[in-house]
Amino acid sequence: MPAIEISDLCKDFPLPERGKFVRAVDQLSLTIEENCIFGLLGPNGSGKSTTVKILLGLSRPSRGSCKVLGQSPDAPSARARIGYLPDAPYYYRFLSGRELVLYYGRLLGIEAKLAKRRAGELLERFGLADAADRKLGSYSKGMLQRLGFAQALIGDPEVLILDEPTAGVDPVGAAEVGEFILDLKTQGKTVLLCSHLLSQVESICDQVGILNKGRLLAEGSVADLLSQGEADRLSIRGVSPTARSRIERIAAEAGGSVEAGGRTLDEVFLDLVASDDRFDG
Amino acid sequence: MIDSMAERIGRSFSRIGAIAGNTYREAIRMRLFLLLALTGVASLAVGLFFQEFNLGSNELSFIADFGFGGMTLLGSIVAVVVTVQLLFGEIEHRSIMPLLAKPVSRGEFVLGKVLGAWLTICSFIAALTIALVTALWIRETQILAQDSEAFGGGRAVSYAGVLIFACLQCMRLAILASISAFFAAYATSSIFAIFMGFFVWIIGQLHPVISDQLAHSTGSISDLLLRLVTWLTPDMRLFDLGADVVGGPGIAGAVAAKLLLYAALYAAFYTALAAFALGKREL
Ligand SMILES: Nc1ncnc2c1ncn2[C@@H]1O[C@H](COP(=O)(O)OP(=O)(O)O)[C@@H](O)[C@H]1O
Ligand SMILES: [Mg+2]
Repeated sequence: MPAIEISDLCKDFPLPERGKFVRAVDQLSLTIEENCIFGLLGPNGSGKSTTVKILLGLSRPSRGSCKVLGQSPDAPSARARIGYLPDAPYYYRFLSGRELVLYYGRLLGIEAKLAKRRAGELLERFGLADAADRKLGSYSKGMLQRLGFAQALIGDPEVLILDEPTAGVDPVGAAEVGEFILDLKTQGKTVLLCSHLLSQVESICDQVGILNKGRLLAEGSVADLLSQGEADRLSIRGVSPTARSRIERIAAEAGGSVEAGGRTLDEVFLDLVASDDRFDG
Repeated sequence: MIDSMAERIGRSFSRIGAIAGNTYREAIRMRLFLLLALTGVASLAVGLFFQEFNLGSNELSFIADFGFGGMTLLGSIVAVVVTVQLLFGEIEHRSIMPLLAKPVSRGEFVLGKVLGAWLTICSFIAALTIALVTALWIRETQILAQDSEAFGGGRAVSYAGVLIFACLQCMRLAILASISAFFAAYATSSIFAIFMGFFVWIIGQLHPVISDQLAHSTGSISDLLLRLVTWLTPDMRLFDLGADVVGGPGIAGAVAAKLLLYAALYAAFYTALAAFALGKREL
């Protein structure tokens, strides 16, 4: 059984003008296997957060359906098995880090003693042991993000849905987040992560999907996507500088070009999005 | 099967309790309580100020009336503002998102919020009651010290009556809180919800006037609408029995039970409506 199954999902938001609407998610179909790190990538406003909200039962689809661990997200028992890191730290400033994690633990129905132990371990693991009893109002952005991981994991969920886990975090913090996520995979968990910052996540994703204007433009492993449409590109390694200038000359005579370095996922992404936008325009 | 049903209800109550507890904690930590306590102390001070006049037993009933009026008025304002703030604030700051991503239903969320807000309101009423009882007791003792026969050999104030009045107010404010919760769940701004809460409160106070109007009903559409309004809004005046409970005949157990049922039904109706409105809402 796949961990997450989305089929033909559409979500329309009504606009103030009568009868008009924006389509935030457009016929999205996706299957995410268990113990996979899936990156849902796309520019701002491409429908990532909307998809996540539907997967968490926070929003109803206009059409289509989705299943998490074989259950509809409307079922509370399904949500008990999902951990959610929201796209901004929507937490209570008047609570301490420990109180927040324990509060969510109570909502998950975790027995008090176990919750206390787990909260301690999680806060320790995410480097918040010293700040655990301080009010969230005094936390830095990076600390709130790490607390987000701690709260998402308090119920020991099988599936983690992380919305923009590296947004607003400095590069060191982002690298740390990458390690957290890889760690989750070794624990057997399934991770769906949404991001518009490709370079920070491409190295950790097993599979990626590229979303633009609610539509899935491409899906597959990072290597697959990088090799797509690459038949006319050559990768040449280990040539001397003189040989290189000769190759460049020959390429130029033949109407081609030589560039340094291979293609990155960023380029693939920008190409896909640009051609999609051109097609629409 | 029955066992698992009981278990499920138990877990649901535990979640509602957790949300109510967190809501109450927010009210305390967000200095809402400081405001409430200050109001209580201020009314105590005002009560003691009246020792300047010596009006005998009249003075005591004046203090009681003043305290009851303050409880009714301040209690209503606090009920509307606090409930809207605590419920709408959670939607506005989007802390509702990670919350509802847990196995919590929207109905449980609304019920927990209303209970937490009501707990806050009851604490406020309790603070005012303590202030009022203290003021009455100090003044009564002072008057008795001057003239032990001032009240015909006994004490003048029915402290049990004051407590009953406070309980009646708590019931009334449970209705007002659930009405405010409904508007908070529906509204897109807290100002709108607060305004609507006050609006319904005022209509609730005007029930006798509206009934008068309806007594001469001509069966017009506007009268029909008015009748609908009186059904949808509770009669807030039913709970203002201050004159009866202090120095009056008191209230019968049957009346108290009826009022309790009246409050419970209206509060349940509006809480259900609030849950429905939140269920339909795009977060
Ligand atoms: N509650 C809402 N009402 C109206 N439009 C919305 C709402 N939520 C999202 N949208 C629209 O849906 C689109 C997708 O938004 P979102 O899913 O947040 O994108 P992303 O997370 O990829 O940045 C955007 O055009 C956004 O304006
Ligand atoms: Mg987003």
